[in-house]
Amino acid sequence: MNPNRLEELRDILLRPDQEKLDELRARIEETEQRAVDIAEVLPESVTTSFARDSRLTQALRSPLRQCVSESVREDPEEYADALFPIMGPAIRRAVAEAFKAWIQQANQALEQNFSPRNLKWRFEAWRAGVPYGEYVLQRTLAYRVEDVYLVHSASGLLIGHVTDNDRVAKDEDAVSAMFTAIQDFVKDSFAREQSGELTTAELGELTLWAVHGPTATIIAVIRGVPPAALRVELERTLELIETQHSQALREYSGDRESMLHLEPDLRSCLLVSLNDPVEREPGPRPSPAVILLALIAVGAVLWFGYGFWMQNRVTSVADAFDATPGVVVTRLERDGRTLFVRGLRDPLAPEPSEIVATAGWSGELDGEFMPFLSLEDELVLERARVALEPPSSVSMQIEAGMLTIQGSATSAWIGELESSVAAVPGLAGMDYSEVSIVDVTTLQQLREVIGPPASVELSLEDSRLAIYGEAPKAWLDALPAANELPGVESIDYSAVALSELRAMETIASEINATTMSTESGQTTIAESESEKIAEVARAVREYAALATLIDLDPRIVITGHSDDSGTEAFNIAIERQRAESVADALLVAGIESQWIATRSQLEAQAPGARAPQVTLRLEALASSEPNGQD
Amino acid sequence: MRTAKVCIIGDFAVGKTSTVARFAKNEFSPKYLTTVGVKIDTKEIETSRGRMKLIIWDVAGTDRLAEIEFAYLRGSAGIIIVADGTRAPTVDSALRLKADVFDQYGKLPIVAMLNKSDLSQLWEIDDDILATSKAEGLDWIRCSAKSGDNVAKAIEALAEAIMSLSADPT
Repeated sequence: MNPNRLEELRDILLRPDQEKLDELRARIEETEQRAVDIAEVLPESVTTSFARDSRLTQALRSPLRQCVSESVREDPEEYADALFPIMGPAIRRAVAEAFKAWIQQANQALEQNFSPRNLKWRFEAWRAGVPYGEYVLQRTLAYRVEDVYLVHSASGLLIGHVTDNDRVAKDEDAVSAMFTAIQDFVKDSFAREQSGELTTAELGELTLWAVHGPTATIIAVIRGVPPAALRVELERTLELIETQHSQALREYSGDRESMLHLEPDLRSCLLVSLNDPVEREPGPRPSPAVILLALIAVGAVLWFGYGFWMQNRVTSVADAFDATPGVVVTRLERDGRTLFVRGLRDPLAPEPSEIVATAGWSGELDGEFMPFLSLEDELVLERARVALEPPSSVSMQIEAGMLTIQGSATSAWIGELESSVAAVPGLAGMDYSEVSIVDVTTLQQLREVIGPPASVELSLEDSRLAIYGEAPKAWLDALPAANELPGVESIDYSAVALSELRAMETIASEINATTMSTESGQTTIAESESEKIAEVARAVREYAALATLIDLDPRIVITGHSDDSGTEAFNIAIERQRAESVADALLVAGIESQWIATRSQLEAQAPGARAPQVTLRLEALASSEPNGQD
Repeated sequence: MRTAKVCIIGDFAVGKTSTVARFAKNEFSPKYLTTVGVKIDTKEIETSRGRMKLIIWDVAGTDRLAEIEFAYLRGSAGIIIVADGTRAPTVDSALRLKADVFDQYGKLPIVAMLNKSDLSQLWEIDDDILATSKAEGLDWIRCSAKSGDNVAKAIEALAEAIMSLSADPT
């Protein structure tokens, strides 16, 4: 074939394709056109690539990072402006969150460390020997499932066991079997006719819950107070296990390895729930502000109450001053616990400190009183008493400054009345017309007044009454004071003796001469001497009665003697025993034990013969008991 | 490791508890026996078919088991029956017990321990009794809880029997 014709033929056949080919080449070679083409498919390509794998992300990461860092470097302002709306809220939120967390931590730390409850827990944890953290967990736990056993109901064989504690427990297989045995035991002992199973056992903080299925039982050991929902959870787990593994459970013959796949299900039952510490409080706890306000209120009430009470006291002090004659108060103020009083006071009026004490004031007193003479009747009367020194046989009254004197007095006293009265300010007048004159001049008249016993002699010289001889104490005590006796200014007792004392001396001289002999080596007095005991006892009683009258304590000193044979220690011992034997005999005869004293002659280095005997001495001592008359 | 429940039964005072005490790990106080009527002990044993753990239920009982004691036997893989070689009647009791258990729970692997072999001068069991007993299904092993003679051997034999039964249930 002609080559030209072949060319024509090819031209005819391939022209449309050639044109397309040229057009495509032009598109590829022309950059602009290619950019338009790629822009057309780029979004889909990116989406597809992201969906397929991470290669595009990896490829873009580095150039993008470079772009961003370069543009931040070139124009940081622009970036800051762009980020501003995001950064502001983000920073605020971060700061708020951090602050909240810090407050919570601080609260918790305070609560955990210093609240009374936690101090108590610290103490209890220390006592129980448990770390504090663990103890707090135990106490704040609502409940925690510590162990879950899955037990084959028929045989009591353990199928599975999970635990969340590492305490050394008993052999889990034995526990499982024993629980089954106890369950059988309880059922047989207490509920033979009833269907049902043991579902709950409680021991202190531990609760055992058993959930029963057709072939297996779940036993959960729970610390704390489990909610009813937990039982539902246990039942749900058991149902799941029973449904999925019914065949294996029915044929279970003790091969625990074949049941290991049940563990995740059992583990899901190891639930823990913490108490909300706020809910643990009995009722809402008042806020510190409320407590502070309450304290302020209580304080205010106490303060005002105290002020009111003090003011009351001041009022009663003022009333007391008003009611006291001879005192005029011009100013009365209280500053805290100190009372300031200013005024006038008659020297004969009561002391201000006595007045305020009687009115019930217990605080300090700062008083300043100018002296003055009060013309009130009470004070004038008091002044008259001081000036006139009236005898006791005279009584005085005053009314509106007029003094009335009644009774009897010596003419000497009456004679001085007029001049004495002149020295009493405030006295308007005096009436002594009713005073009778009694001038005692003879001893006989005085005798009739005081009635002396026969053993007494009297003498009266220069208004001085002297008493001689012996007189009973009762008579001397009953003697009127000198100023009560007309014509007597003083009484001289120096020459009078107590008649009781004389009588006692007589008895004592008799007793002191008494000796009671003993056999040598014997500790008791001779049989023949024992009749003296009754006599001595009678004398001692008489002596004691007299001693009591004159406020003395009687004492009978019993001294044991011995001869010179034997050692000193032996002699002291035997002397003591001899004295004791007489003391015992006197006690039996009714002499009071506090009147008796015993001693050994040798030990006490007492005078007297060295012979086997007992001697006695009666004496009187100043009374140990306080006497009302003294 | 395979676990298996076995019960130890026998007449009063034949030495059940001391036999277990000789052999197994004490898990609970003996007072459970008088309170709950059963005490659980465990023992791990090496058998020809691998290691196993026996959960031994020591059932307090006499010549007849009460209902509750019978209930304790439920789910047992084997029985240890104990009699006292110095008291012939305890062998009869054992035979009765075995019959009761088999009636209720089927033919279980069983090992019969004739205890107190250390008291030979008081021994009451002659060959005739042993032969009769063997004919009725109890092949006695003489043992002593006191000296420990044959106790482990007897219980290991039971463990073997239980393992072989579970490996070949026919």
